[in-house]
Amino acid sequence: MSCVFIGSDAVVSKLFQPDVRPVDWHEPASFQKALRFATRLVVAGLRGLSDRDFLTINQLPTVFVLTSGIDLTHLIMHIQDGRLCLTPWDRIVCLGDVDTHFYRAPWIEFFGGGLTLDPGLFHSLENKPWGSLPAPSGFDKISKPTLVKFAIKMRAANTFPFSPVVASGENAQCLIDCCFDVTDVVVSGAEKMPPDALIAAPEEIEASLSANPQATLLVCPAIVNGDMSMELIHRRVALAARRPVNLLNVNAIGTLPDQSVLAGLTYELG
Amino acid sequence: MTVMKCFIVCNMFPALVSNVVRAPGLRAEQLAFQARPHFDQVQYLMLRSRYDLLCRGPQVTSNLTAHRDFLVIDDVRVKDFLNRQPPSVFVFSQPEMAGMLSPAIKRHSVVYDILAPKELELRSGKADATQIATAKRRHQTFLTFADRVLVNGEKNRLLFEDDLAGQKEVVTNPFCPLIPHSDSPEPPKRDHILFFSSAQKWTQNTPFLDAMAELMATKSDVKAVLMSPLKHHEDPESLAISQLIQMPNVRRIKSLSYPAHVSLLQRCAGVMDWSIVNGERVNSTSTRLIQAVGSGAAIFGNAGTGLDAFWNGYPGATSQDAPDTAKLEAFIDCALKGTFAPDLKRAEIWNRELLENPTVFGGL
Repeated sequence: MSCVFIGSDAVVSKLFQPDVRPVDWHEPASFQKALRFATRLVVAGLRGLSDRDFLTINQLPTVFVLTSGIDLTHLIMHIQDGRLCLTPWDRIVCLGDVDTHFYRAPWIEFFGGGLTLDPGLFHSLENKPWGSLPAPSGFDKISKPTLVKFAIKMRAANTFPFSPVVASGENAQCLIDCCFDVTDVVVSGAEKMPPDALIAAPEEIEASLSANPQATLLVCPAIVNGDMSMELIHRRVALAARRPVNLLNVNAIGTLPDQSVLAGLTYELG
Repeated sequence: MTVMKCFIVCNMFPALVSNVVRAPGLRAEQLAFQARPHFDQVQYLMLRSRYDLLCRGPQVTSNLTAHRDFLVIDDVRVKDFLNRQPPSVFVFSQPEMAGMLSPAIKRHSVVYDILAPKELELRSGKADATQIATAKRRHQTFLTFADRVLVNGEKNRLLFEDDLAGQKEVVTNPFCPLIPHSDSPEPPKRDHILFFSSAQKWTQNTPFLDAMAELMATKSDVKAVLMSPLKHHEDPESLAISQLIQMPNVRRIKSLSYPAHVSLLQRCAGVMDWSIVNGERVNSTSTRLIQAVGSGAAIFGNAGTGLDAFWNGYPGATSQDAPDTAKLEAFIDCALKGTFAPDLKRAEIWNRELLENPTVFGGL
């Protein structure tokens, strides 16, 4: 376990880590060496990121530290332009008065994950690295780069002429950015609007359809294999929806060692 | 006994079948509502070519619901369809469906509904001369063959005065979309402010957005929603929008589906949309503002548009010149306090009388 911290000295001193010596990132050789063995990233300087950094960020589970509204604006910009993607492996931690900004980016709270940046964080990470946020069953075996590829395909398929209002089940809410561009999405619960689209893990299909009967689209991210086949998912959607359903799109990415496939199924309802 | 039928020819989806609804779709719904007491059956009609055009593209636009009142007919079958129907009434909103007109006039009655001054819009949008000439020619054709002409408000009637001089029947029928009522037992709290960036390329609302950016920075207790796509650097309002999207009390949303938009309007105390009045704006009516009034929100708009003759008086505030922050702040405070409630009540009565107006379709 090795955790690399990208950010300015000011933020490092804010985290008052006496025993952490950040690698001098103006010296590329030592920075690259440190990255080679890293398994986790902490990004605090969202303003200072370069194109090379995104290659690393999209490989490793990352904590994004927001210190101000400006950091959030940069995060939104990177997601919007397709450079970044928030997966169940990522966390957003707010330092300072970022709470007021939850109104303009209500999805931040999906990526809290109970992680706080206290001085003990680095010590605790050495012993116990953070895992995946609650996700549909089997998703904790899928690495971040695979999820990023999944997101690229899903976002291209799920484009709306308007900002979709999205409701998601408990298990699928951290996949919101893997299914839609999260900066273009309205969160149904937080913003009190009737949902247009649902994200539901296979085990949540019935519950989310009965809770939101007016939705017209259902996205089901699932690990498809012999036990949970596409036919079974289709039967469950068709039975629970009580109206005509149409499978618009299937994105299948990456075969896992046990021959199961990561798939995103997009259903049109009614 | 023959069945009296009325067909509303659509060039956009009504809310009955789609959740992407524009002004012509809302107008079609209004006309259908007004026609229902006078006919045995009222149906929407769309040409196959138009339908395909609207459904094209990689987007998830095909969220269409089938409904027996919404018919799509193939372009080559139009003649057969029209000949098979008993004498009916065909309502054309906007003159785009000229292909249907010539078979229709033989046996049926034609109602021409002028929703917006198309020619002026095209001129303001700097369309090419052929396009303008086509719009003008179609407009004239429809005027020649229409049994009844509907115009959107008094101001439009004045604008088309010369065209309408030879018409037998002209009915003023201002735009008034139907507003689905919220099904929640208690009405939601109206504590939001909604404002927009410019929708058409010929409208210009930079002064308004600049003032809003200045104001929202100071009024951090007011929650506002800015409905706007991201603008490019060459757009004049991009500076104001990039200031606004960084404020913690401003939420930017590109646009919303119809049900979500309606639910947002029901939580808004005030809706603001201002742009510089130009040759086209003088006669135009704003769908955004009309929808807002329908759902009970006070509005802030520009003085001197087609809306002046609506609702027996404006339910909100207007501004002739570019609004300054003081003016906007006064409106927001009044709207949140509910000062405009009597005006909104009057507007609601005006809207209801309009929807129940029997002269629009009576006697056809």
